[in-house]
Amino acid sequence: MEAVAEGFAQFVEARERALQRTAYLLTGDWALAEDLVQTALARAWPRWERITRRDDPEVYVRKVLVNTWTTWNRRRWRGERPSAMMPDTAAAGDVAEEVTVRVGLRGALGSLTPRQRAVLVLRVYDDLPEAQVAHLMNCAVGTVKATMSQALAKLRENPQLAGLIEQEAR
Amino acid sequence: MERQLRDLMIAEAGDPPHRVTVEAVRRRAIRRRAAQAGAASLAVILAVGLGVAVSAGILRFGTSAARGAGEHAGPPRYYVTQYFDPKARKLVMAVRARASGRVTAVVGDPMPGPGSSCGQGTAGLAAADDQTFFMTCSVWRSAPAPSRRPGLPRQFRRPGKITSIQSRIYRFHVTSAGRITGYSLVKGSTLSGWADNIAASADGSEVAAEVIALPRSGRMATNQVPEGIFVINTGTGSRSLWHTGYVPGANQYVDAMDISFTGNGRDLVVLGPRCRRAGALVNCNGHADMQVRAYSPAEAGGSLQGGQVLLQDSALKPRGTSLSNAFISPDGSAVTAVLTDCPPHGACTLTVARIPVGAAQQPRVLYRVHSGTRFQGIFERLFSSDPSGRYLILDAGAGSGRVNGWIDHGRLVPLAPANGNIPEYEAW
Repeated sequence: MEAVAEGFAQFVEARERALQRTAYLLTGDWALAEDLVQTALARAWPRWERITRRDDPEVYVRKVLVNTWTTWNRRRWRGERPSAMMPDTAAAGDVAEEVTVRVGLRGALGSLTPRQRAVLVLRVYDDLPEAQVAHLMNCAVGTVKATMSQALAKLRENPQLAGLIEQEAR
Repeated sequence: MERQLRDLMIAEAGDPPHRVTVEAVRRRAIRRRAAQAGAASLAVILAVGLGVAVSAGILRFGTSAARGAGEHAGPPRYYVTQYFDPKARKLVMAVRARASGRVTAVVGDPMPGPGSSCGQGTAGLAAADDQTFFMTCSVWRSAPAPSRRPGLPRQFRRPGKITSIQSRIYRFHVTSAGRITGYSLVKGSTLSGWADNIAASADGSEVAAEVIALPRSGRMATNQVPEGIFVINTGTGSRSLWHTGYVPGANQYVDAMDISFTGNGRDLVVLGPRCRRAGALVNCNGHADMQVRAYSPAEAGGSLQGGQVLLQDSALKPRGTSLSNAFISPDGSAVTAVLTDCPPHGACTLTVARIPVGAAQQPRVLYRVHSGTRFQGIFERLFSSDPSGRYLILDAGAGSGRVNGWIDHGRLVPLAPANGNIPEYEAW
C-alpha cells in the first residue's frame, strides 16, 4: 500500500501542473481548474493500484478530468469560486498585449460547445493522438475528427482570434 | 493553424498560481468518502423511518446541548452585514445572499430619530439558529450645549453632557428568501448604558451584552471599563450580571473582545485582556494577557474575575502569538480562535485554528494568511461564526490586501462587499 501511495504522490508531484493547465483551458478559471484537478485525482486515488497495473495513469486521470468537467457543465454548476485572495487587485506593468491574447482566446474557446472545447484542448494543447482523444472521450475516432473540424471552423469565424493567428503567422 | 493555436494556448495557460498537493487530494478523497458514506447511511435511515428517529430526538450531532450544530448541510444562505454605502453616504445594515452577494433586505432602524445608535449602525450583532439575529441599539439624551461662546458655529460647540443612555436588543429572522420577519424587542433587554458587544446562544434562548455604564461626569471615555456582561433569558426576560469588579493592583478583566455560549446557553465564554488598571479606566500598555474564560452556569451571574481559564495567549507558541478572537464550540470541546503572530521583523501571520480545550490534541489550522508586504492592517479584523461553529467569516487587512470571506476547507470564499465597502459587522 505504501508503494502505491508513493507512486500516487510522485504522479501528483510530476503531473499536477500539466493537468492544471489542461483544466484551465477547459474551464477558463484557475480556481475551477485546481478544483477540477483535485476532484479528478481524488476520484482516481481509490483505484490507483488497478490503474497503474493496467493503464497509463495519466490517460485515466485525464479521462476522469474531462468526464468530471463535462458533468459539471451538464449540471450547469456555477458554484462558489474559492480563492485565497480577493480578485480585485491591481495589475502589474503593461498588460495590454497579454490581455488581448487572453481575451481573444478565451472568447473563442467560450464560443465552442463543451465537447468541441475538450477535443480541441486535448488534441491541440495536449497534443494527444486522435485515437487517445477518442478513448478519453468515449467516442469513435471519426467523431473526434468531425468535432475537431467543427471546432476549428468555429474558431476561424472568430475575427479576434483569426487576427491573432494571422499576426502570429507573420 | 493548429500550431499557432497551440502556441496561443500555451501562452494563455501560463503557470498555475497554486500547486495541487497530495495532501489536498487526500483531503478531497476523504471528504468524498464521507459524503458518500453519509448519503448511504442517510438512505438506510430513511428506509427504517427517519420520521420516528427525529420525533424521538435520536438524531443529534455532537452533544445534546449542541442543537443546531448539524441543522444545515452547508453554510448559511444569507448573512447580515453592516457596511458603509458610498452612494447613500451612510452605514447600512443589510441581508445579503452568500452566493451572489445580492442585498435581499435592509434592516430598518427600530429607534429612528436623533441620538439613536442604530441610525448610524449597530454596535453589536449576533446570530442564532435558523437565521435568527440579535442586534443592539442605543439611544441617548444630552443636555443643551453650553452657551459660553454664543458666537461659535454650532458644529464647533462642545456637545452637552449626556444625561442618559439606554440600550435595547432587537431580534429578527431572515426567511429562506432572504427577507426579514419577526422584528421585535427582546423581553428584558432594555439596559441602562451602552451595549457594545453581544452574543446569542445557538437556540436564541439567551443573549449576552457587555454594557458600559454612563459615568457621573456624563463623558464616556474610550478606555472606560464596562460595568459587566448581562445575560438575558429571551423567553422570560430575566437577567443576571457578570460584573467586572475591581481588585486594586491585580491583573484583572477589563473588557470583552468576544463573547460566546456553549450549547444552549449553558456556559458563557469570554475572551478578554487581563491587565492592571486604575479604577474605572484601563491602560494595558501592551502588557495584556488575552484569556478565554468560561463562566458557568451562564445565567447565574457573578464576578468576571473568576471563571475557568480555557486558553491564554501567554501559553501559545511561538512566543508573541496573540489570541485575537475566540469563540467556544457549541459542545464546549474546542475554541475557534484567530491567532496573530507579528515578529519584530518580517511579515505578520494570521491563523484561524480550532484549539481543543483541556486535551492533548493538536490544534487544527483552518486558514492562514501571511501579511507579506501588501497585507496591512492585520489588527483590523472581523471574525464571526455561525451558531454551529462550523462556518466562519473572516474580514481582515486593509486596502487591496483586505480579505473578506468565509472559510471553506482552508480557503477564503469571497463575500460581498469585496472591496471598498469595508464591513463593520458580519454575522450568519
